[in-house]
Amino acid sequence: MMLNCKQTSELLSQGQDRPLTTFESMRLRLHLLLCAGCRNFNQQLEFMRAALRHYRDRD
Amino acid sequence: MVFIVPAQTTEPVASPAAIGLERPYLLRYARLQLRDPALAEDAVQETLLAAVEGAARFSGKSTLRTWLTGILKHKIMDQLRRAGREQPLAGFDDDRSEAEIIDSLFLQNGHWREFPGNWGNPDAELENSRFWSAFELCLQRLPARTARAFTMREVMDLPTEEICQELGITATNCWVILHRARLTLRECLDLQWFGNTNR
Repeated sequence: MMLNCKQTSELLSQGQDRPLTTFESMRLRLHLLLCAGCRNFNQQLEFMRAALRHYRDRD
Repeated sequence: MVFIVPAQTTEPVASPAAIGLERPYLLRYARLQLRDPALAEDAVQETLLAAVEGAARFSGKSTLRTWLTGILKHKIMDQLRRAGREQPLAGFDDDRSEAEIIDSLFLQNGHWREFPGNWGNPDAELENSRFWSAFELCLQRLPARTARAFTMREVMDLPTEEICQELGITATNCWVILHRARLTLRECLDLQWFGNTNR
């Protein structure tokens, strides 16, 4: 079964908190290839993490 | 002419003055986690006091900031535990569970209700002070318990196992809360900043 967007967003979020299994990563990659919305979400997750650290550490 | 270069002191320096210079950073860090200026002030005061009294223990293996942050993390956790004993956080701040809030953003078939749009080159916003106002607003809008788990993860860099233990929840529950926090923060930033073409 293909991952849907909800499952994809769930795994992308968990990917920031734990190492994903090879199988999970493979299913994610496949969904991301086909879905621009989830690709955007993935980039936004990375941006939000970087922004919060920037906010915390700025002088 | 001979210049005599004084030998670099090998003793790591954690002078009260150097420690004091890190105060604004520590305060910002504590406020992000505690979301209460008075509690944050207390945690930072305790940290500065402990650092000045224990300056001899600063080995210089890490930067002064890293050393101070380590002390501050303990003081913050003490504050959270103390506050938790006095007034435990209610289950959640609104009636819906975290899982229900996640569900509400997707259709029955698991598709996004609103497709995440492209934020362009968001790194450019890091230099924009108005962006940070929107960012602060969105962080403040996260409900207390959701925000606590999220900042433990993203500000204090704690592994999820430690967050689960502190909050007395399962790992699965922890992942659900973090997922909800990220979806809600994303939605707010999109609404407050990135989706707004007139910014």
